[in-house]
Amino acid sequence: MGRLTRCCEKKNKEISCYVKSAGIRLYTIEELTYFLQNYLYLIDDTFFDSGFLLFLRDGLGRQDLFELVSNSSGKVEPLLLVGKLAGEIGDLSRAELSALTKKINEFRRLTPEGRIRVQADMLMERGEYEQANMIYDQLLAELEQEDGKGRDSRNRQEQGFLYYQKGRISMALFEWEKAGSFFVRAYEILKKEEILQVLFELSRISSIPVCSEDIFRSVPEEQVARWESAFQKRRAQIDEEADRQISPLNDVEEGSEDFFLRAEELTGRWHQDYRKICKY
Amino acid sequence: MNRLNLGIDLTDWGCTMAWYHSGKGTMEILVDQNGESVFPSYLALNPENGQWSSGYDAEQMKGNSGYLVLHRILSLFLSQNSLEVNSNVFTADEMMMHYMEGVFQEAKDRSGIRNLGQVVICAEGFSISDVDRMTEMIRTLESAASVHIYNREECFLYYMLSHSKDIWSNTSYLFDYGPDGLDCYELNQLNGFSHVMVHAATEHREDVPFYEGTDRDAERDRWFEELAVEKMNGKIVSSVIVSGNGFQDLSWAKGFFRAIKSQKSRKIFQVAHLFALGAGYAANHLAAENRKFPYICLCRNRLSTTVRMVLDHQENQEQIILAKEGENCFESRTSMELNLIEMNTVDLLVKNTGAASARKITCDLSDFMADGRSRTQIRLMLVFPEENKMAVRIEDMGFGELFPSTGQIYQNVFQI
Repeated sequence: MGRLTRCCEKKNKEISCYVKSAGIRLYTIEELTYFLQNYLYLIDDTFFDSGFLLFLRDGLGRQDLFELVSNSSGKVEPLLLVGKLAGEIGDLSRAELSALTKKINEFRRLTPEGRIRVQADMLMERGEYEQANMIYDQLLAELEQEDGKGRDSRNRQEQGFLYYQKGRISMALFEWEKAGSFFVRAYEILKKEEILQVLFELSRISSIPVCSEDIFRSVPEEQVARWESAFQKRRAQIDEEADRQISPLNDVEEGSEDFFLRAEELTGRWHQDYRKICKY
Repeated sequence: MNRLNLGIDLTDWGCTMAWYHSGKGTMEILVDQNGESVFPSYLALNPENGQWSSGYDAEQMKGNSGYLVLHRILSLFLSQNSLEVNSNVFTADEMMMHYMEGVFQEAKDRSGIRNLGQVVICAEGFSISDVDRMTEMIRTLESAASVHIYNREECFLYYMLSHSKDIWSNTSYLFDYGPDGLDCYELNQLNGFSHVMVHAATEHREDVPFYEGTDRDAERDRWFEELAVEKMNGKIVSSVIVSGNGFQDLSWAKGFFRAIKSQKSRKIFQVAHLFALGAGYAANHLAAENRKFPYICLCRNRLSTTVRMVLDHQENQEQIILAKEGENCFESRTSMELNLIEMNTVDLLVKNTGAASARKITCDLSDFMADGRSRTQIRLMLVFPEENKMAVRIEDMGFGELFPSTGQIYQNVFQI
């Protein structure tokens, strides 16, 4: 259920807090609360630095939060401090606070590699493709080193997932061929039908072959027809959005500087829409 | 610091000023050393040195070919005409500013108090933008003054409600008879509300017999007598006030007063400069920090609607009032910043005076959330360009760098 709440007063609007792991600035207590709730996986020791303390005391004017964090910093695990801080802010409902506590506990139970992977997934969702890709590469390299050390089956599964994620990144960057090769590798390991469907759609989008046609040989015809119908539906959605966006171009003289600037802006927006609709 | 809380009746003919004389405990019209109450609506410009003069000084320059003399400054201001003299352009606002500078100076000289506090200007024909222009302009002249522009109905209400209840507890009338014709003001106390609520309305009579000359006194008296019967027959009338130049001499109106006094309990008063006095009472009420005006006034430029909104606060909900019945519509402005979380509409609850329940006005903000974002911050602004119109503007401010603003603005005007 939606909510409409009053914005909190801020003591000094000029003072913000830069979160290095997410590459964003936080300006208000509402943004901080939202960040704690939704970007938990990007919070580590570096989050509660001197800049953050300054933001709490001088930016938000919350001496109570300043004292809580400065007294706990280094003594309390960062994730537990997040829970304490969210409770002290007092902006979340009881249900939201208990959901956050649950999330914190789940995250604390993960292995260090598991936490890193969740962070990478988060970065990918936020469109920080380069950073996410680097983490996936690092995790893949570590898994390859561990080959033959008794965790082969679990490692293979993990590798399959990482290739799938790298495929998604390539697809979001419109690198069809690269995406195709990652999805094929993911499919070879995981053997999941949804990966085949993504490959099918990718081969329909791309003008150059992204994988061998043999990979679809085992798929029943009715299934292919269903994929085709789903693909056409999504494509119509994207086309409709593109048409809607391109119409303002009609008012601009073709070939003019304005035209190119506008076209560039529209393409950027279209890419965003494409990613949103496809959710790859 | 002793401050001058001033009521000004601003017309095209001149200004009359009233103030509360705390020493005497009475509301008084400010007069100059010659006993003159009106500050004439004249401005004069000496083109050679660019010096402006106003009021009597300016009026005396009439016929002096070296000066440019302007009359009816209020009409000039409202028409927003500008004036070009020796390739210098003077805007209507500038001219009004020179005139008001003279008015304030005169008020300070007459009262002996140098600092202005609350200033209520009684004037007709102002739109919301005229009110903004005037208040902005006065703020540059007198930064410490708090300016309010009320119309004649409002000042009539303030005048009446500042007197003992027995003169307005039922129906009361004001007949303002002057060179512009006759205005009949009717005040009624509305029953059945938890607060004392009064309503005023005006009727301008075009068919009033003409005002100057005594040769048609009998005809005029007959016309007014019929008017009194038409207005008051069968009504419980507490008081009748006559005002304006047409009632300076009452000898012609015997039949009229006889008709009024057909009920003996009706009181009759003759009041000069009623609107200036009403504005003075309003200024005095506004200046009294701990004494809230206890009545709800409904008339032209006063809201007969209360607008509320429901906000969430942790587990609870709270209702906040954005605009309240009885407030001056031009002054009743709201601007607030809100968090819109997982919803794409904002509901305003509008309840008219006397209505059994509130109706909901829904503002659709789907465009603010079009890209699937879950929350944003909005700036909500309510303005009332007229007493029965509400302009809503909602701006998407975005949610920091997490969800930058879409740049969307929702604007709509609702009849309330």
